[in-house]
Amino acid sequence: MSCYAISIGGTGARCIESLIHLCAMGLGPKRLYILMIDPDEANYNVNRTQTLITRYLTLKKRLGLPSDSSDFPLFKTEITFSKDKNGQPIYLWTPVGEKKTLKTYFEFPRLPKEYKDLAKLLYTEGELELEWDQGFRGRASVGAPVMAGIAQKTADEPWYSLIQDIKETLNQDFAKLFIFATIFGATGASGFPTVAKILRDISEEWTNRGKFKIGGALLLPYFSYRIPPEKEKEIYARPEHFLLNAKTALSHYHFLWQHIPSPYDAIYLIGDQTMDSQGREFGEGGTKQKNSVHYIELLSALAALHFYQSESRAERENYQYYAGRNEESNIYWEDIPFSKEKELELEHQMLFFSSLAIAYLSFYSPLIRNPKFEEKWELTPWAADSFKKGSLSLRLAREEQKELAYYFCSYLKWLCEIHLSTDRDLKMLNKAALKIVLTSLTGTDDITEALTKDEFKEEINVEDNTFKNLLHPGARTYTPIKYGYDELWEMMCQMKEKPTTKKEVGGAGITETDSEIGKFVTGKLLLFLYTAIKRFCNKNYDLKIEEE
Amino acid sequence: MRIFWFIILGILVLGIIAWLATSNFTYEVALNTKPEAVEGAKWRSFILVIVSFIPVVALLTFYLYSTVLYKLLRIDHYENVFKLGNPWVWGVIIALIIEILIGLICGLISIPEKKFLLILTIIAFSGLGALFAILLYWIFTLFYSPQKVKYAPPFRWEIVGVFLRKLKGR
Repeated sequence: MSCYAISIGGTGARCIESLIHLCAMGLGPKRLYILMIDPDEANYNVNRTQTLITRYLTLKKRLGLPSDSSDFPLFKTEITFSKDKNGQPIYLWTPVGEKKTLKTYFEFPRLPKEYKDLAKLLYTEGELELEWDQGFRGRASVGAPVMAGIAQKTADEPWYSLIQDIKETLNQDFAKLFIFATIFGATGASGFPTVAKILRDISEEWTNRGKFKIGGALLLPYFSYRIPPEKEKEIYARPEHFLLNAKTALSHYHFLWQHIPSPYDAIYLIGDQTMDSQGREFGEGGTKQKNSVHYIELLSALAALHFYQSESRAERENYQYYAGRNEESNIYWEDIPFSKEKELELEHQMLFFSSLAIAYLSFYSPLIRNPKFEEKWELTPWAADSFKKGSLSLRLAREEQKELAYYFCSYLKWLCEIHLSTDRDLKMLNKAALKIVLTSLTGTDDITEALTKDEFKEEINVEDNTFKNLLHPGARTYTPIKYGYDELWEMMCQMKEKPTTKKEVGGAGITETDSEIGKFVTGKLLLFLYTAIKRFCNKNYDLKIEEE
Repeated sequence: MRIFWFIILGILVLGIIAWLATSNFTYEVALNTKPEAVEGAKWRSFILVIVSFIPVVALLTFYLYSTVLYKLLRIDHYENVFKLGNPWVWGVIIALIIEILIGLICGLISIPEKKFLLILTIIAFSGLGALFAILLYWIFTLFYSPQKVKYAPPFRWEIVGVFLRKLKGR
């Protein structure tokens, strides 16, 4: 089975960001084809996700991480994408070409009078002349004709490769496509029904069309921001319109799919009553439109995983999913759908990956970068036993370590945003510990400022007490180990290298030549650290996981 | 694993003490090192005590090192990793102190006139015994050192590490 993810708009891109992190934790599908759609090419969230995908791919390649190992699920997902004529990846596709207003798009001066009148009836003068390079600014009606234009572009990249890939998959197995979009904005709301319909219409000619499943996360209003008074008169997406936009769009979809069947096999409607504004600032689009990741976007990414993992039948399906909290203002692991399911185990994997990131950035990375590490090599038994002396300090190894540090920084920032950018009290990971992590990561004590900062330190200083108390005390009854890093060190020292010659097994069986040049050694270090972290978390948080 | 090494080394220590008690070794040492002002019998018993205590102190220090001392250094910060050699050194200091204390007690008991020069000679002899105890302690730690401080004893990495790698064929 192959899985596909398409995001429409900036919020959709943040859902893809969450999906990538879930893949890094080892929860993703085996293969994932990604495409982002946004008219605003400079959009901060889209760029942030593009950077993340690049980091993921670089890390997976450079560290020699396996795609199919039960011992090491991290980064197992093969992320793929369309490519342009020069072989360059196309993560982002913009429906906006040279024509950047409705007037130029419709070729307004050449239109017959009755069409001109119709256009003037449907759109205001401001909407007809609205520049799209910073998005459709909350006007879904402006985006709708542009999105419908995709139907004429399916022979061009990135659509051609995507459609061919789906077609090839269908010859053997199911192809599952998931679309992320908001209903209260412009880009997402205009693209959600259209993109799915175009792809569904194309698939109608295929022999195995029943195996082509389309799912979608439709994000209902959940965040807000303040528009400066001087911008009040201009056309922008306005939070006070979000609920009305959502209601109107839902009515429209209802009308649309009443007579012709919905192109979706499953729709996940996700939202929250609170309109969070923490970590969200008004921006005119582009790099100025900075929004923190929200837990609703994590839920959307989990919805995608649920869709990918659900059993499918060869005929069309029509599911709708919803989830709810047990308490009004608190959110526990139990409230997060699929978090306790065996296939996903979000709680465990998030705990492992977060502990791994902190242990690496705060302890193991500074350790191996310290000049004394090579001088006093014998004092690090796990390195002395399983690594060639000096191999962790070679240029290639240093570059790999840097890539890993970059990824972990991005991950921790994402994790902190999820927990700290909502008024809901998330009782999943320990917020007090995450505040310390965020402060250390960004170098600022002001959490609001830290949430919007994107420059990270390569090393962080997280004390033992924070490291061993990462899980929210209300999430599970546990008594932390007295000395966290010390216990982890003991577990690292007990690590035994598996006798293997295969390079694929987490880089554990790297060749002598690889070792000589420092290739894949960081992958091997990651495998060791991950295995030790799993044991540590099992003991520290009383997870009751049986050792294999 | 650790208990296995203690049994083996305990038997070894007992064997050394038994050999010292039954052989002529301490007599010969006492004969060649006795200061003029000390009675031969007293000196011989002193030498017997010092030499017998060498393996005992070594084993005791080894026990302390592998059960308590290495745990005292908490790795709560990465820089503490570079101090992992310290617990072994603490063992050396403990062995030295115990041996010198034995010499001091023996000196104070067996030299009633409290001749300080003579007591210092005895302490110097016990210091020499400490060197042998430390040597034995080092040998013991070559056989076993806890995982956390596996190669902290000096040259264990070079001796045991190379041997283990040869065994693994690397």
